[in-house]
Amino acid sequence: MGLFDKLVGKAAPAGPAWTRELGDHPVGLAYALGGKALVVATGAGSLVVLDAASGEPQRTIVAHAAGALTMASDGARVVTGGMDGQACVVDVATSAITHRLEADADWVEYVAYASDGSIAIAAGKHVRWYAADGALLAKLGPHASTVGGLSFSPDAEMLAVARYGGLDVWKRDGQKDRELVWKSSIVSVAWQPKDRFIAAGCQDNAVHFWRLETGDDSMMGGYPAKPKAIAWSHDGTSLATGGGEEIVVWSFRGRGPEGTTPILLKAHQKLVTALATAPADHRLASGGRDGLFCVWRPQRSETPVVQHTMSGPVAQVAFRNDGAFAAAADELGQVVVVRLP
Amino acid sequence: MSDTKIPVTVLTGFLGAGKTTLLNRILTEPHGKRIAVIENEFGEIGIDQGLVVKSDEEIFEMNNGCICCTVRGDLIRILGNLMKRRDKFDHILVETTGMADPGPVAQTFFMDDETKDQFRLDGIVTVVDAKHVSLHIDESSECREQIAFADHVVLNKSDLVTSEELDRVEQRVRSINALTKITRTTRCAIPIAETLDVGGFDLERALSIRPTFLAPEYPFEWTGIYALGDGKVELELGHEHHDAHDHDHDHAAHDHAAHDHDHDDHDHHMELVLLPIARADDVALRDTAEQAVRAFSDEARHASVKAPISPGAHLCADLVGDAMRYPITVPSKGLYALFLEHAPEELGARVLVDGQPLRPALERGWAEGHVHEESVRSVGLSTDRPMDGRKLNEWLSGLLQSKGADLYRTKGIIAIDGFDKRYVFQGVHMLLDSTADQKWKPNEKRVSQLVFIGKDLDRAELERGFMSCVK
Repeated sequence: MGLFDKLVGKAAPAGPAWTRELGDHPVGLAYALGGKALVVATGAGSLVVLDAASGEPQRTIVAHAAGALTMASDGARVVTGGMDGQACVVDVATSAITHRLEADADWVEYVAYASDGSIAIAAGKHVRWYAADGALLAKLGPHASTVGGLSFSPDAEMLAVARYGGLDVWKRDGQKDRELVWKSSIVSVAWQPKDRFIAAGCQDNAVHFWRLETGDDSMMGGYPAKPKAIAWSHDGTSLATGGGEEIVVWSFRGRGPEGTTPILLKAHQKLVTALATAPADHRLASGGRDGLFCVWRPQRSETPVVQHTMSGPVAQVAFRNDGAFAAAADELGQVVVVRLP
Repeated sequence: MSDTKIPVTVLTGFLGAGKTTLLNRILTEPHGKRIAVIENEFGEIGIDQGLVVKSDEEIFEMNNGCICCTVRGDLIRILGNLMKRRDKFDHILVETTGMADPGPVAQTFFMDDETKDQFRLDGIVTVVDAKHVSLHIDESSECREQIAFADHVVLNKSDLVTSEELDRVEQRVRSINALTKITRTTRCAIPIAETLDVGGFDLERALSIRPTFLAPEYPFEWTGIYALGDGKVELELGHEHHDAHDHDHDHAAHDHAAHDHDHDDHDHHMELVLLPIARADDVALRDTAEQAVRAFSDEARHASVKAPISPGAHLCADLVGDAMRYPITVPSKGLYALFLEHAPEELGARVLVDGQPLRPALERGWAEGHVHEESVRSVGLSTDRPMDGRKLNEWLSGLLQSKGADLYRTKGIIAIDGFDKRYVFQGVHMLLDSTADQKWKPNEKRVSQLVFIGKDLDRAELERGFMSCVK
């Protein structure tokens, strides 16, 4: 950043609404209960429910004594993937563990919620799809390699599974709908909310996407690192991607991103590790290995509207349901909530 | 924010060599380190022994199809996930299956940004079965590669072979990988710290183990180890002219003719160095050979009856007439290694005690022959002239592009012209990392050294390329 940028372009340093030290690497962060609670899953395997307004810890639930790897939430419940071969479903309001879902290998590395409350969990080369009530709907796989990501279709009828060599798209009944082939390891996958695209980050430093109608695929390369953090805007008109110090935002309006120039957002000094999009507008939250937590309005300004330095590399970011606050958690266990302008 | 990277040790070796034994020792012996183990799918370590993770060796090729970009997908994933339990360990050990190619494992620490940012490949430890490795070396490219990639070879089951066999195996390992540290063990009994803190890419350490391996050829062709101390000791030259062994007369004559033809220029003198040696075995011989190399670099003085041959001096003995005898001074009774410029039969050289020929306890030739058979070997280059950074960069880039698949390891310390810091290189196949290291010390000799370990390496061509980069 040049001197000129520093003088005129820097975001107003917003003081955080609150900061809390949990002392453990967070593997998941989500607002729940209509924005009243902020839930953090830790590497040690606990779920910590914080009061979203004050940051006061309300409950701690031991989900996995052996440690947790990942978390997802549907707003009322959270599911965590453990190092114990299980996924654990917790009702946030009561803090009760409602289900322990069996997996097919020791490490449950990915979990996902569908819009109908059903859950997918991935362990090793296997995926299991459970209904909202905990009933097993389908066992999927073994896949061609260990699974590298999960994403449901907006209508919860299909599930995309990332792996080496492309994606497998499964139907609810356990039948394979299609295979989306790309000779690379897929490290992230995101189904577009408008159900027209599936985007994927690749090990060879590129973003790949498929048009679901035609099956055509395209690639956007030139990233300095693999884009593990990718996020669609709420309306599916843009795709924000990490994969370097810059955040690259591709427009999917009109004919799509091919041939267009993306928006480049620069503030991070190291790899962008976490991205989240706002529930009802085009704001974007980002976290980097440099410890910087930013919130952006990509279509209005290439300068962050909020910029906050945390105690360590940022692991997770999330927007509150009403978009009035955003939260971030870093690898040292610091959790920060900022009020958004 | 801390920049300390977590050290990772890779443990390779054929099935049955003793990897599991070593792994168990590492996990159970007290060494003050908390170790997370990434075990191969056939591994036998119980899951309850601390942080043990199974992996299934997933090889990820890149879309560009380049073999040198191939990485281990399972490692990237597992290492990434282990970072979430960062407080649980301070060292990581990766066990591979016997058939694993170490290339992709090592490349993962160069190619994958996330892994590169957080982890440091401390070293590759290869466990070798001293009894069976000779078979494997010839039959299996994996075996050769595992040795070639190693920073530390654990020569296990050394109790199951004779010391001569062990010397031979060690020689074989050494001829493939001149840089590796070698430890002989029984049941992998080895101080664990030596296995975990290999500091594998520390070229200085490697060079301190074997400072002269960079010398492409020894300045001597033959060594004999003698027990000396009693009686009048002499070196005789030209003895075959007196020995009338009828049955091999023709043969000797023939040899002589050939040697006349080959060695016109130094037909009638023999340079030599005599050194005390601890034992009559290959290991002691190798260590003493280092001293001999240094002694040979001193100017030779002529031996004579008045200037007898004494330990440590570089001497030249002339053959004038049919035969000559030179007295040898033996300061104390013991074993001595006699390093000769030429094979003894070329000038009819032999050691006499009280006029009677003494047979060496051990003899050994140093002709190029002893390494010629290895397709995988080490080539060391060095120069004390400053190097042109840009030229070196161009040459190395081109070399790695064209020969990357055959270059397993590259290590080097370079003195760049006009640059007061040492440039340190380390690479795997096509991937090369270079960093400015510590400053050259005021009185330090600025020597650039570059070592390649790989398959079908052309020393002459590498040397030409290297020397074209000097300023």
